[in-house]
Amino acid sequence: MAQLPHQPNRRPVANKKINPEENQNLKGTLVAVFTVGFIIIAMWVSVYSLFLSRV
Amino acid sequence: MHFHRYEKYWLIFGLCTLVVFLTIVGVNAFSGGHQPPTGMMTLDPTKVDQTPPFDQPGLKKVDDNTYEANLIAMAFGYNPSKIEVPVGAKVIFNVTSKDVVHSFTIPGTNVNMMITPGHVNTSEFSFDKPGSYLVLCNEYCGSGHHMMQMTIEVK
Ligand SMILES: [Cu+2]
Repeated sequence: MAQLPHQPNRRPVANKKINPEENQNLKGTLVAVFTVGFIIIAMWVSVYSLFLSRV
Repeated sequence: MHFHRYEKYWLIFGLCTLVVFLTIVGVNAFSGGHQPPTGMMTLDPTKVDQTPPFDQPGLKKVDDNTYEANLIAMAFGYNPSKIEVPVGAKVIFNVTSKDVVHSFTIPGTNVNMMITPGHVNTSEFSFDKPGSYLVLCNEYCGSGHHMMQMTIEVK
């Protein structure tokens, strides 16, 4: 059967326990989550330092 | 329970930022006294004019450099509508409302509180720079809301 180059073969090998979650590629999710995280931190720091500068 | 390795990373990251945020806010609140406007005093909103200290609204000297401003908010203004404060003075604002919900906001400062009838809300500010400070109502209180303001002259 022909396989497209960007599709990895995900068929589990017989007699071998494979966790399907561990095979998922979550790198993009990781980057997205951390990007949102750092945006939240930047907003929090700027708002809090504005508060402190006016105390 | 099974977690993906990356999932563990952002859960730990999220927990750490939560702990850091709460620690910074907590330390500043308890040791630096940084708190939002508060006030435990209640009064009858129909008898504001007879209830001290609002029977004599205005600025009162507490000690050398501390003043107390007892002000009444109403549709659509404040009583008094102008106070004069010496430069460098610390002013404790005690504000209550005679009618509906108003606010007491000095733009560019941390003084920004809701004024609810029946309650006295308190906030303080040190006026280190001379000038004319505008006070605004930022809670919509009726047709004259946009006219509701007072001034604090710092000389
Ligand atoms: Cu108002």
